[in-house]
Amino acid sequence: MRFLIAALLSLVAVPVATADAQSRLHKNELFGYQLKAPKDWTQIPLKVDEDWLLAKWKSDKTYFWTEKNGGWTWEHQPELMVIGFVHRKPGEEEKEEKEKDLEDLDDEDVEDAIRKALGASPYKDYEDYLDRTYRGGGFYISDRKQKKIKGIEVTQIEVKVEKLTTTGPKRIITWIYHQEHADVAVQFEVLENAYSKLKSTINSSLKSFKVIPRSDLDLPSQQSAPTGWITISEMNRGTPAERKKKRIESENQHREKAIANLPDGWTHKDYGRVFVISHVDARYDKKVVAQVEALLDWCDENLHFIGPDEYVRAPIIRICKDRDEERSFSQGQSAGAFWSIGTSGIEITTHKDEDGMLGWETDYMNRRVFDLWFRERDAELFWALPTWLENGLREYVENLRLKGKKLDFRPDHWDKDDLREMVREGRAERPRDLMKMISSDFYGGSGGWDRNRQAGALVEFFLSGAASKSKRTKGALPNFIRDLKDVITEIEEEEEKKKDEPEKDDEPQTEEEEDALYKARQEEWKNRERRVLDEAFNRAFGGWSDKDWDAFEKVYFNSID
Amino acid sequence: MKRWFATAVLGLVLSGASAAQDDVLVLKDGRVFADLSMERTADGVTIHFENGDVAVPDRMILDALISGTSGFVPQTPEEKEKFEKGFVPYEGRWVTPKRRGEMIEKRIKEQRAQIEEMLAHREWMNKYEEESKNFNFQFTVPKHIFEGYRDAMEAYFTIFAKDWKVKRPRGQDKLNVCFYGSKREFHRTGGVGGGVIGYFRFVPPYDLNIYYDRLDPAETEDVMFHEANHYLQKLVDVDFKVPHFPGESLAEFYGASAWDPKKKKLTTGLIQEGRLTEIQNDIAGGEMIGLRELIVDRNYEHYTWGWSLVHFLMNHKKHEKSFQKFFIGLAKGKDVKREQFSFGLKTVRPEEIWNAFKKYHGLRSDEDVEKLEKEWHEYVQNQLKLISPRGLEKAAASAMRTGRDIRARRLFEEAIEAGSENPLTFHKYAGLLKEKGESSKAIENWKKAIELDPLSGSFYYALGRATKDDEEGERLKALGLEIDPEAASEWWWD
Repeated sequence: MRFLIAALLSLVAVPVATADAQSRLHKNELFGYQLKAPKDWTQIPLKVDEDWLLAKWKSDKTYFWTEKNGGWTWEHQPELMVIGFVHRKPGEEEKEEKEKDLEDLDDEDVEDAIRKALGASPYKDYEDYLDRTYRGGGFYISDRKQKKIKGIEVTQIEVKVEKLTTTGPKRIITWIYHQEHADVAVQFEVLENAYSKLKSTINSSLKSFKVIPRSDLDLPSQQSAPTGWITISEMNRGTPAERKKKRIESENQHREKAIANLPDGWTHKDYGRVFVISHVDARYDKKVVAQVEALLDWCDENLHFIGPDEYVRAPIIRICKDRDEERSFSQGQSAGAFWSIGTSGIEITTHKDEDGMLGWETDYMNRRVFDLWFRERDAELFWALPTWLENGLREYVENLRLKGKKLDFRPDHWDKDDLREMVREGRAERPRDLMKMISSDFYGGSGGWDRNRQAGALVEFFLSGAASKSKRTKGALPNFIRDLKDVITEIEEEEEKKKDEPEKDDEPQTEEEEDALYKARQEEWKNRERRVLDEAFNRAFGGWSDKDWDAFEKVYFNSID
Repeated sequence: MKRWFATAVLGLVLSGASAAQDDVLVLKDGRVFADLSMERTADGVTIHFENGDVAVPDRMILDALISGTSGFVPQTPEEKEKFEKGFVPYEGRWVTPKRRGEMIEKRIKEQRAQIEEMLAHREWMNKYEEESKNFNFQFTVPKHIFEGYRDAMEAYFTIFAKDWKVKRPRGQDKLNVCFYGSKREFHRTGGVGGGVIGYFRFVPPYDLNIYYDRLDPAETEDVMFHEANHYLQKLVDVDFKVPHFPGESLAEFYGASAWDPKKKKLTTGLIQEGRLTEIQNDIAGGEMIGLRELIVDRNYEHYTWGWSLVHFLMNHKKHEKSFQKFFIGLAKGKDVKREQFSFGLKTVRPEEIWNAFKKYHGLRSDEDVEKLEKEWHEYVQNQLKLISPRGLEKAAASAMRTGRDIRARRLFEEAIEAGSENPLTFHKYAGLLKEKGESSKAIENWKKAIELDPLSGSFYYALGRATKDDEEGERLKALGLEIDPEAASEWWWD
């Protein structure tokens, strides 16, 4: 059996891979190989937190597949990926690992351990890699051959993707070059009906693989990689000044990694509050930057009371040429990897939307920027937001668009029509009920999606609708959020104190007692959620009578209808 | 949370340690052990692992190919007499050693060919394909396992088609059934995520995908019947998408069927004991779901409470007919409002299903609804019982998952008393006992689990963890990992 681990490149600060656009020659001195990509294929950058993909390309040409009996026609651009697997050396390091016990680890090690368990743990081999990362449909190995090519042992694998495919049946052709230090897998993925046309292109690229002298740098190892990153827990420790210092370090770390080995045609620019890596024209970059900056300003201005002393890392906005390029960029990475270092929050990947800044891509980007801003200002409050408010705020910010120099709320017309229908049919929740709904009630039954829209409408009504203009209701939502924070803090302090109390011996002795405890536990979290909502609601709206609510709701429902 | 990655590393180190031998052992459950040193014994085969010997009883063995089998050693006076005359026994006859050698060689040759054929079909690229009266099968499970499931599917089709008066439309292909040899292959080739245990593709070309679980073949059968039922429901009207309720609930009802391969008899509508356990957990947690709520507002509960409702209705003289008419009526009834669904299919929205349910069951007032609901709830609480060891095992495992250890303990003991021969029951019970500090009792149960299935690595690994003698404990853990490199994985989050 071969002992393999996924190649981790995170710590390598100097460029180890180069690509010559003219000759299409890609060289990787760390792994000691070179390869020629096919002509007219575009190189795709790798994710900041990418560790085992060594290079990626996408064909400029699109191929099509049409379902039988007049079904959909799907588009697909063939892809080429190189994946590295460093051979594990059984030895002392492993022996030490064996003895490790999570109880003895500090926070960072625990994060590392959890990270590995969640998805970045070593792949056993190429097939294991496919099992864990391939999302294009059900696949099986349709052929497997062992050969010796130019003195190197090569495993040639053919994969067929046939069931529940995302964009039609496909074929994957992979040659795994086995070297002493590592295996390097070169993988092509094409539509099944395009394979015969692309066969010679694929073979010629696969055969171009050559071993070259390796650099003196050590191959990355599973153990060394995570310690190089600033973790979320490090960024949240200490005083605000210390936290700011760590966040700036983290920001720089991600930027450096993001621009290392950026393929031809990609640019990067620091705009101050936003860092952009782009494969589109500068004009579009600027539009995106203006939108993101305006949203961050809006958050600073309207939610200034949330974590006012906290530094918010500038998001890295990666703008791909189109949707396909964005999909290729995300391809091949296991979900959940590196969650603990916070990369998924700081880097936001998008693409040039055919509908410009009015399209859904801006909705998505707004939401991600908002989430980042809120989490960095007060993660505790962010995770404790009641469902209606969390969804309502997201729905609201999604629809903010830059108009001149100001953000303007542009409601989704479909949502608006649905809301109108809900109000007319009497299906809409009263705001005073919606605001006190715990998560299971909010999503309960078949009305979860409708309540989501209503939450968005209510937040909009508070922040830019009629309620934002009335003296009485102007600050109602910010006040509710402030009260919510106070209530959460008080409850947590209370819970903390309880932890210090000697534990009661309430271990059940009978099945009946056990059932009662089970029932109580089932209700425990719901009751806590209910308490947070009720107390925050009473503090913010305690002075409101039923008559006040009736009047508020009348204006609110009228604003929708 | 302890030691989870330590053990993972250990697994990699030890798994490559077996000696190269020609011996092959094929178990009835489809597992194959090769490249290990083996020896025939009076009642089975002993495998010599690096970390200890494992005796595999005859009852588990389908086939064994063992070279260098030791010579015959006479035990009784009769055997000694024959042996002195130059005879040795072979398959109930006394033959010369030369003849015995020839016969063994011939037999080994045949066995090798059979085993090689079976091994060659373990990957999907070399799958078997077989057509039966109503299905096209593709499979990677060994043939002897497949045959039972094939016969069960055919019987199932016949019974359902007769009871519900459905048939395959003329010109339509037989249903394609993909039966994978392992969970991993099912997820990989079927293209579905970890939580899925089977699926039916409800748009042409129809496709049913399931896998064989060697530790729970009864569950494999349940899933097969459940998914196949979606196909049979489809035959009521191929242009109709049966809504989640009653579709999933009826599939669960028919999922609880049992095939007796000896009597060639299929029994339908048994108790879905796993689902009943979930219902009992809900009731213990204070939840009692109403009729309207189930049909209109719930989704997952269509598998649990929905199944119990169908079970109640189908076992009631008066309600059975009404329910069947309601089910057919959703697809064909003139008085039901259907709407357009994706893929050119029609379906019915929850509110309309509720209206149809009331109409077909003659529920004209709230009182009528309340009365039926009360009858159903009483049926759930008083008529549906866990009766088989399997049901008790499922309930015990579920009680353990929900932190009700006293209940779990009672149910495990009841399952064992009721004659459970499921090694996992002993394994899980041992885990509970260990947690409660009852190590010696836990060890007894792990030993029993090993006795029932001596080739499950995780049992040795667990026993090793519980064994006080460090050296013996390490040996057992290493043996567990040698048998199954993944043996430690269930402890990762311990």
